[in-house]
Amino acid sequence: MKGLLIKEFYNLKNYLIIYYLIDLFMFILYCIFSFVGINNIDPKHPLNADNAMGLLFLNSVASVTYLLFFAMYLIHLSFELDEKSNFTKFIISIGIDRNRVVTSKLIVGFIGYLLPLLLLIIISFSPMFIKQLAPFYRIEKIISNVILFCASIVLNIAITLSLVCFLEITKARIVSTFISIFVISVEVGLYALIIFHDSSYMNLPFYSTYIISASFLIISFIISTCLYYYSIGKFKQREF
Amino acid sequence: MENMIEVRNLVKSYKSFKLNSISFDIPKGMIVGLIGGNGSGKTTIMKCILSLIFKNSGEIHIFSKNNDELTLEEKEKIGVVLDENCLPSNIRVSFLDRIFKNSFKTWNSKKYFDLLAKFNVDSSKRVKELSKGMKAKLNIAIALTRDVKVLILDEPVNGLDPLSRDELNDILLNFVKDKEHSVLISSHILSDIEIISDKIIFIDKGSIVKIGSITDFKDKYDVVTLLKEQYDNLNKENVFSHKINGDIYTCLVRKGTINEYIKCRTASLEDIMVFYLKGIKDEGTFN
Repeated sequence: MKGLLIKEFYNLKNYLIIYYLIDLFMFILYCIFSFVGINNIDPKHPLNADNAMGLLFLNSVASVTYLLFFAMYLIHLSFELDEKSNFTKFIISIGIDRNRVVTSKLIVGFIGYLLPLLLLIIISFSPMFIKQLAPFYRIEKIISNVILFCASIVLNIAITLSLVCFLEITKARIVSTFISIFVISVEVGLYALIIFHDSSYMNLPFYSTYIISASFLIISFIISTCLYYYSIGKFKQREF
Repeated sequence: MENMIEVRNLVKSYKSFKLNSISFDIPKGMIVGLIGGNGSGKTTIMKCILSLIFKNSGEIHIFSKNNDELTLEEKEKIGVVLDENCLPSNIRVSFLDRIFKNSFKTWNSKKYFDLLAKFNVDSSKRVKELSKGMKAKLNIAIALTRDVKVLILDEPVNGLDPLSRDELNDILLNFVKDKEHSVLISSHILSDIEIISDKIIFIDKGSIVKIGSITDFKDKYDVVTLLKEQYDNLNKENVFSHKINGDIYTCLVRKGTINEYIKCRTASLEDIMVFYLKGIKDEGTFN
């Protein structure tokens, strides 16, 4: 496994650097837009200023969420590079277990999601430092956001992996993009519930955020586990 | 004699091709050459042995175990060279050592670099910067670096110059010298197969044409050049196939059965294969 991961890192390091730079660039861009927005919200905004602030905060959180797309393509790229060079065929012929090949791609996926996770944690804690966002600085919101994001990571990786093992790379890329849009949209909706759970529109108890995020995590974990074993099963049937 | 690999009634079907109940053994201490035209099924057989593709029926035993039940340690005892380059193109040759060292328990870094030096492969280059012949040598070096008992080589000499091919022949002969190792090799360079092989499997259109020792192939057939009238007077049971060039007939015949001819020489492995695949069939059978 270690050898496979060394190979993955060597193959993908340039792409990973570019991807992380894109992440940081988009993060900074959203921070700038959010900062401008925060300082220019009209107190007589129809939504009322607090909710408008909440939407801005939601936008910042969602912006990190969409970085999940790029991370997903790392898995596609890893499979694609191996397929182009026939390396997977070679290592299977010389004794590497097919399970290990799939698991190494899984780990590649997790590495791709590390920076977005870090950025999400930073954004989640940002209300601590920005006084206009102070109403959104609640520990249950921060924890729930992070749990939701982790659940989404796991689900996206499992979906991407299973599709690549089931379909040809190009088709897998297209289908997983559409499925990921759906998953991320659900996630953003859940973020909105968490951020606004104590607003005048909802007034849900504080523990509702934990219930929302924990439920999504459990469902994601169950689906992801099934998809992971499905991926291994499909990959074991693949002929080279 | 103990067999390293046993194939029994192997069947593998594709839409337009089928391996028809292939059976053969790779005994310990032997080099077995697998020969046949393009698309005859050589690579399909090797892929089935290596579990890269899945057989429809039949059995494949390696080290007396079903090939699907081999442990990782047992699989590490099989060295492989495939018919195309299968290494990531951007990786440096020296870096491959790090990858394989961390993947296989029996990987020997010193042996790897010694083999690279012996084959004059520059370890500082990336795989994509190597010539076709150098890539072939690199694949062979990787196959030989682990403590393997069986080598499965699918056209390993594509792109190698005669000197390098001769080197590889020496390496393979040395590999089986102790009678504890075996080689299954397919190649279109039949002169090399003749030199090193103890046993030949000739396959055509998914079926075995003939299996035998190298002497079963080489010392049993002649290539004779005849005039048409001489050909017409032949006992056709001694003739396997012929080619026509105007009034001149070139025939593959059973050794020592033809007395009237323009020219006669012992048939090489290449002659046998070409006459079988391209010649006009006569009444003689290979068995």
